Amino acid sequence: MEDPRIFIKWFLLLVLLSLALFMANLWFGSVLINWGEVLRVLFHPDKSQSAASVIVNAYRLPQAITALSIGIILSISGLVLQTLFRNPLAGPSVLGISSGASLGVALVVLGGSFIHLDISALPFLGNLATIGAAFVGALVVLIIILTVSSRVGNVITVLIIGIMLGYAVSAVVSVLQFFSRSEDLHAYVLWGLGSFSKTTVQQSVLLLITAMAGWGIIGLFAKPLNALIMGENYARSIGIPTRSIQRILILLTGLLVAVGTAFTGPIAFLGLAVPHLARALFKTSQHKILIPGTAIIGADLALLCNLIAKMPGYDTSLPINAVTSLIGAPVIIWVIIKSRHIKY
Amino acid sequence: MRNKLIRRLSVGLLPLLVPLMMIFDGCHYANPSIKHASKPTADSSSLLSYAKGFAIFHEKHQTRVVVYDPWQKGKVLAQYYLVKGRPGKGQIHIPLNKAAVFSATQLDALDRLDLLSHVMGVSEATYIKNKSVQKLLKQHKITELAASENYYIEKIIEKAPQAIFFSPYQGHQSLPTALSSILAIPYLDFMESSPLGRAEWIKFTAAFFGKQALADSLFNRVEKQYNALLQLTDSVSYRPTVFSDKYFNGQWYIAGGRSYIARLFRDAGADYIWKDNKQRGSFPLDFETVFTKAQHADFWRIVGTFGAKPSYTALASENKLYTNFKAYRLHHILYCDPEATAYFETSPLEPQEILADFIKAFHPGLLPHYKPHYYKILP
Repeated sequence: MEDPRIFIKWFLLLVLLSLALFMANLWFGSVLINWGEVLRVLFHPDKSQSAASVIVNAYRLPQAITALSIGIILSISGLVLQTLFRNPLAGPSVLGISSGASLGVALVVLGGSFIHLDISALPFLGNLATIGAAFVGALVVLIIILTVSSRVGNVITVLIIGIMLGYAVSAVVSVLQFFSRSEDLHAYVLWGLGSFSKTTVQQSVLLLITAMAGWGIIGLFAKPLNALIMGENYARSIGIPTRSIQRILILLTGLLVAVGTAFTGPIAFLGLAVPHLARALFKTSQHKILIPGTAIIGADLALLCNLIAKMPGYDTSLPINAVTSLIGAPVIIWVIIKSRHIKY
Repeated sequence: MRNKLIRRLSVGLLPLLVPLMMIFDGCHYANPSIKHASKPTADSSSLLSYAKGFAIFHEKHQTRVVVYDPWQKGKVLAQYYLVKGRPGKGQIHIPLNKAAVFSATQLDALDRLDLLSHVMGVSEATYIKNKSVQKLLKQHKITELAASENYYIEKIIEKAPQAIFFSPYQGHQSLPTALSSILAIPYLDFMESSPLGRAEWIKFTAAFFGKQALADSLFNRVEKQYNALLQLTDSVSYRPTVFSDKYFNGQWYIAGGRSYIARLFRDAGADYIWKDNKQRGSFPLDFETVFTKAQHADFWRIVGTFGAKPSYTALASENKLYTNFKAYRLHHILYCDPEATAYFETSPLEPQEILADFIKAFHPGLLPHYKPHYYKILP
């Protein structure tokens, strides 16, 4: 264990960085709004609904809050899953949870081609239908995985079943894609590219509360997670009810990922990459440190990716998944090469 | 991903493409600069006035129909020699009487030309709105031969159409190799960015069925009406500003300044916000950019479906940001329900109707008693 002062120094730095990145997300965008104006409309939202006010308060602010929350949610989930399965490649997508969400959305967006009813076009549904479908889809897969995990003893088996379930679900999605109309396909593909800019202010705050609650609750499991990393047998030997802890944590991360994916679409790589970054930075496998570390790095990285995706100064923006993957993949490679000795 | 998306979007079936193309207001191809061969000066009559994607030459004993490659300037995509008598080598006997037609717009043209009895196959049957086609489908006189991205290859070979009219897209300019024995005719009306040019493709269809005279007279009527409307707006002093389409998943696809819809805006006496843009197709913009440029625009044109009752509330529930546009607050949304109006099927052949709808919205005084057909101001 290293000097706790070093941890505190790093935490402070990362928190400051996330504040800076958050403000940068409010400041930069396709449209140039000077800093003073951003602060003015932020703290004194005018009733006249000037362009700056609408852009900063109704567009950039929820987007930044969403990025921050999703960063926390996915990274913490990734960390917990990597520890639970003692597998460095585990992440929110491997349990099939994101695929479940995709299936839900595919059924709503593409299913219309089968039953000749444009569900997503029904009034008031549109956006909400997709959010609901993603959530239900993710939950269904989660329930299957939980049921399976209560029957099979080995946690690795659960992981493999999750991956297989993901394949099966993707197969159904591809059949739906194959038979759907191009407009629907376009809608579905765009959903799959992910976006932080689909949320309203209220929704983004809801996401933030979810992220904080998730962080808090998972934080309570730091000790059992430390024990689980040494293996299930070890954890049991020191009196930890491993099976129920595993089940609770799978449920918890599943719910978190389901909520996140419902609002933003599947976001690639964050959940997988950030825990590795945290381990490399803090050089510890203590979850007391790793959980907050992962959460803050996750928030930083998501905000940074969103900033890049906005392409400040350009009229257009990139899909967020392209940016997270482009940043995430090299990060993983670098971390794995640099720190082969890290224990999962 | 993007490439895959474009490829998937650009399936060779026009019933799919037309809606998409209309949504995107022009072509949706990745290549923004689609150039056409200059019009040939040939030995022939029946030269076209507006369409740039094809030409018809009346030669001594045959009619030559040329389709230009919209993606490569000056290149010919296909050429057909049509004869009414005994066909020689490389010639095609017309009228065709067993054709498969995979574009719903072309089916509408055939209906107007009273030629549906010459059609034996269609694609995407369930989405076709044309009542006569639906009737023929029920009577099994027309069969579905393709859907979504799939050609029903065995069924097509079994039913043996004389020709398949299909919609090529960039990189995929022919039918599957298994169908190489069947005459394939590309139908590219959707690549025309001039409204009258797109409507003029009725002449292309007619050429293969020996109905040119009828096509000419149908088109002349459209042209006359269109130009009469154009004269109305010629001298308007006030041109209201207009923008188009909606935001979706982080992107707002904007119709280019040289697109079909941009041309209709101009002809209807409106000032399109992106009129100086040089693209024919659509391009994605960030919400911020669109909002800054279009927040004070007078009108907002949307083609889409909100279910049974399109309304301002439904629009706001889709995205609250919409309520910040002036056109929203003024209730100046020019809305077309493509389901109810069969917009994608029928409007390409009657651009004068769209033009009149637009004029009615932008300059109601010019057409006081007109009842709009496709586009209405959402109340």
